[in-house]
This record gives sequence, C-alpha cells and structure tokens, in this order.
Amino acid sequence: MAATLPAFPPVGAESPKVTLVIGSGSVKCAAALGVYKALTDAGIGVERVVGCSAGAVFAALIAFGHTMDDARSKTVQLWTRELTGQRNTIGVLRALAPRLFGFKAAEFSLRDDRLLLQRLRAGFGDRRIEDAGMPLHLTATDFATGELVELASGSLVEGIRASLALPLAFAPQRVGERLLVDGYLSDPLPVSVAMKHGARVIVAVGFENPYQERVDSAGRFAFQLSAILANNLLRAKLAFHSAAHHSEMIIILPEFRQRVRLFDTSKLAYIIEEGEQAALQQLPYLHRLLAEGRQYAAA
Amino acid sequence: MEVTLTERENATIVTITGSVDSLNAEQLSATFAPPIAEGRVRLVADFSSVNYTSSAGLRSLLAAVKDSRRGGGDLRIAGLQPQVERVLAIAGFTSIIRVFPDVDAAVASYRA
Amino acid sequence: MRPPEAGAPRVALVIGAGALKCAAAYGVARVLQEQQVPIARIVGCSGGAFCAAWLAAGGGDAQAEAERFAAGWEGAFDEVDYRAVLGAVFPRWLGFKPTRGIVRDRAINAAIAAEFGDRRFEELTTPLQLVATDFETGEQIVIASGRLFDAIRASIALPLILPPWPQGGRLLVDGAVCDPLPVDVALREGADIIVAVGFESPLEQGFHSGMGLTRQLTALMVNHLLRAQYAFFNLAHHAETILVMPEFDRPVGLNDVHLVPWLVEQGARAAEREMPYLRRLLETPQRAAQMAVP
Repeated sequence: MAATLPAFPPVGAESPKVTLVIGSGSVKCAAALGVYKALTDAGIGVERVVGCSAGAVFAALIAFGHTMDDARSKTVQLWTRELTGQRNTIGVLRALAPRLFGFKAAEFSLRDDRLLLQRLRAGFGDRRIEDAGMPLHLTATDFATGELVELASGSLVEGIRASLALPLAFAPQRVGERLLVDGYLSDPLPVSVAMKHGARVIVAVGFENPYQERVDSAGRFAFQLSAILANNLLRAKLAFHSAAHHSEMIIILPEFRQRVRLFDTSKLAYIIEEGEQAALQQLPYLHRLLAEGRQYAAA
Repeated sequence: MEVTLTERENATIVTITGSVDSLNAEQLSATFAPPIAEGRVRLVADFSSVNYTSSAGLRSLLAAVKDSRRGGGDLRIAGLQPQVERVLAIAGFTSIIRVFPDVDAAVASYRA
Repeated sequence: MRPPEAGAPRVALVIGAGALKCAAAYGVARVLQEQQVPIARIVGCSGGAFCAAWLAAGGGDAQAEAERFAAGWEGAFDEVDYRAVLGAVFPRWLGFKPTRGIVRDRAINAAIAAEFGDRRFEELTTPLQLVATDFETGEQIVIASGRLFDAIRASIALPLILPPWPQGGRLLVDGAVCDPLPVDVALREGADIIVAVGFESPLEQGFHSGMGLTRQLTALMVNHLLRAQYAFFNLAHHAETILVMPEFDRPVGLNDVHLVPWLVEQGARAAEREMPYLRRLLETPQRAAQMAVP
C-alpha cells in the first residue's frame, strides 16, 4: 500500500487541473455535479468542461460557477416531464401520413420546444458560451453530414438547445449556417474534444443507456435499438481514444442501483451522491497521478 | 503493483497484484518483455488480484498483446474482478482479447 | 478457397453489414479466388453473412452466386406487413410484439433455405463465424455452430424491417447493431492479415417519413459505430488490416437488385486495388521476420 500523499490545498490558481467531459444521459448527468464536488473537495481544479446532450446543461452550470444549491434548483426548474409532454400535433400527423400533411425533415419534431426554450432562457438568460468562467464546449451533430460539431462560442441557450435536439422529439436547431441535432448521435461521450484542446488528464463522466424492461410497442423497440447503438458507440469511441492518445483518462460511468427515469428530478440528491461516490473511488489514483505530474513539472 | 512470472508446461503466467495504471505501466512492460523475447509467447495474465485499471495501464497491456501475437502467440486474461471487467469491456478489450474465469481455463485454451 | 500453409501468415476475411451493397463482396471473393489467396478464417455480419457462408462452404463461381443472391433478395423486402405497420402506430389496439417486423420474412427465409438448405457449420471447409445481436441485452453473439440457415437469418434480421430470430433462448437481430464490421472476432480468434470488406450507408437527404428519418438516424449511428470500432481494432491489431471499402456514387436501396452486376464490379475493383500490397504481405514469411529482431 503506497504511503498517503499530502492533500492538495484548496482549489486555486496553482492547483492541479483536469478537463471534465460530461456525456449524454438525461437527468443522470446531474451526477457530474457530485463528481465536481468530489474533485473540488480534494483540491483538484477543473480547467475546461465539455458537455454533450443533457451533459451540456451541467457543463454550463459548472463552467458558469453556480453553487451546488443553485445548480440543483435550476435543474429541478428545467428538467421535468412537461418538456416533452406537449405533442406537436402536426408533427405526429406528418409522421403517420407524410404525403398528406407534408414532411419536412428539417422541421420535423413530435414535441413542441417552446417550454424547453422558455425554461432554458429562465435558467441561463442571454449568456454567451465564451463568457463562462472556464473554457466551455458543447457538442452537437450536423444534421446534414452526421459529423460532430463543437460549440465554444455563441448563445448559451441556443447551444444547449442544439446539443439537446433529440431527433423525433425536438426539431433540429439552426446555429449559423448549420442545422444541428443531439450530440449523442455522433459521440455520446466526446473525450476527443478534450484531447483536441490539449488535455493531459481527463475525467470523463458517462452514462450507458438502460435497456427496456419490456419491448411492447414500436416506441420501446426504437428506444431499445437506439440504446444498443448508443452504448456500443460510447464504448467504441472510448476504446479508441483510450488506446490512441497519450492523455490519461479517468472514466466514471455511474451505475444507479435505483432505477432513474429520464426526468426523475425527485431523485436528484441520490443522483448527485452517486456521482460523488463514483468519483471518490477514483480519487486515490487521480491524486497520485496529479501529484506525480507536479513533481515532474517542478523539476 | 507487483508482478510475478510462473512457467507452466505450455504457457507463461503473469500474475499482477494491485493497480494497472500509468504510474506502473513501464514496470508492466518490462515484465512482459523478457519472456516474449525468448519466444515464450503463450501468455496468461492473471488479473484475479488486480483491483484497478486506467487507460494508460491498458495501453501497456495492449502493447504486450500485440508483441506476443507478433511472436506467433497470444495474451489471454484470467480472473477479472467485476469492476475491472467492466472497465475492460468499456475500453473494448474484452472484444479483442480472450477472457477466462480462471488461470487453468486460460492455460487449457492454448492446448485446444 | 485454398487452405493456408504452415508458417504462412494467417489471412482472415471479414465481410461486414451493408444490406444489398454486400453483393460487392462477391466481386472481392472473385478476385481473392483468382489470386489464390489462402483464407484461414471467415467472419460475416448481416448482409455479409451470405457471401461469408458461401465462401466458407467452398466458394466457386462468384458471378453466378451473386446472381442467385440478387434473385433471392429480389422482392424479399416488398411484402410490407401492414398489420405490423398499424401495430406500430396504435400498439394497444393491435398488440405489438417485437418478433414482428414490418416486412414478412417468408421470401428471405426461402432464399436462405434455397441456398444453404440444412447445411451446418461443422460441414464447412473454412472456419466461419457469424455475428448477431441479442436484442434484449445488446450483446454481440457469435455463432459458429448449428445450422447455417439459423445463423444467417439471425445475422440479417434488420430491425424494424425483418422480425428478430429466436435462437438459443435469445432474441437475435442484425449484427450491425453491435458490430457492423466484426474485425474483433478475427483478432480474438487469431489472425495475421485481416481483409475487412466494409460498407458505409451514405446519408440521403430525401427521406419522406418518420420511418425514413428513423432509418436515416440508425444508418448514421451504424456508420459512426463502424468507424470508431474499426479505428480501435486497427490500432489493437498486431499486424496489417486491409480495408476494402467499395465506394458507391449512388444510393443502393434494399430493392435495387438491378444494380447487383455493377456492385460486383465495384467490389472486384476495390479488391484489385489492394492486391499488390496483399501479395507482398503474403510473400513475407511471418515467423522469419520476428526471429530477425535482436
């Protein structure tokens, strides 16, 4: 058993720093708040945050320096079932009888996004991504090419809306010249963005999609198919970047013993606690790794 | 991390204890190098006492896999603990390397 | 196919998913047979399972086989199961069951049976593995025993198009959902040179329905999955992986059977491009190269 290293001082300019990547996972992404708490408590700073899909919300909350209490209350206000509750009736009709009602893929959505936008504006105002307290990157997918798109500047609300543009639920989001959809389609846990910006130590918080208990409708069938594909894509990307890049990656994939449904903000405390616990398990190694790095830097 | 080598009739067992990460990656590579160089390329990595792996640690393991295969052999893994198995699955390792519940099964697979 | 010689590099042929585009694999097979490339192992997934199984059974006239593939495919996806379509929209009304696909599988089952009858893996001249996906757990399922019919039918169970195939207590679907170009199976089982025949789905902009959009998104993710997995498998392989990925300048739909002769030619051309390097690799003795390392 290695001797315990002295603890890092409270986070400041001289603190060892990591890049935090928060992948897609709906309300479970709140676990990243617990991870951030564990890092901060251990004197480890975060120098950059990358967020994908719902992870973009929490990446923004962290990058803009919200306290834990503030972040929690914003989450509860934003993330409820009503977001996808309002059916876009024309959209449903278009899906059923496309020729009759006219199908335009670019505008297609089954849900109305007015409530989502309203709540995002209430939570984030008219902030810009580049004004965050630390570099912030949100990822989305180009609807025309399928490629990953990184947003490091521009309207924060628009960026989050794009990152969250779940196909068939919400319409694609126009940002500049491009039509963007949910980031998870190109990469559910975009560590490549962190690596591209020179990160040496990455803490990647990701969530595997749970599989359906019962596949008894077309919707559930589609969800299951999407879950299998997304999980395999998550693993494939992680495998490649893990093997190909020199940066060290701490992968945190919290497993929730209690079932957490997409909008279970009532379980927020549990989710955040799971995140913190998962991070604590990685801290001994992370601490040694960062302490070692500092020794070399000092030499 | 501690590593020991044991020779069996038709395989070399590499028993690893502790953590496989960037801080001991070099030590791990140094342990695999001599048997591979001597043509003892049927390797079994005993992971039953490994409690942690990181991406950098897995990179050095991957290098040993490739070296042993280049030499006409293989590296097979035995005795993964559940949390370590999960990391290896997520990092793609269980898809490209043969994994066995214990050392005896891994050694037997070389005879098949 | 010519069996490999002792000490020669072991060549594995992997034929991945690609629906009707997999007809190009017959063009690749034609070139490999003409060049007498010894194949030690074959892995097939989804549409690629047909050519993979045919080759493992001994191969032969690739052109004729491609035509039989086309004839079997033709009209196999025409029969839309309207009950299933309606069941998708009004599940409680008609009782949706996941074993129901949108297209009835009578024709495709007949095509597979006509080609492979009751033949079994154990009768093959070359080791073969076919890949499917367990729909309930998402796991990769590798089939290397039993009837070829069952394995091919499982591997090609395109989601929302063909019904899943129950096998061994599992509900199996298209292998592409977990591993569209299963180079990892070749890595695990042992191979030196891996020839990987893969296909990407070009993204069309002209889909006209919610179903079309769903298929588009699925194709997008399978493309990403193929690339990400291939990148990793390539990095993890100790020797050379040769990617044969024919390029198609036009979309190839499930029913475009008239394109098969052209597809076969595209496959042959793509294989011919790789032959000079493959030939050089085959002529380099593996073991001798290692002994030379000090």
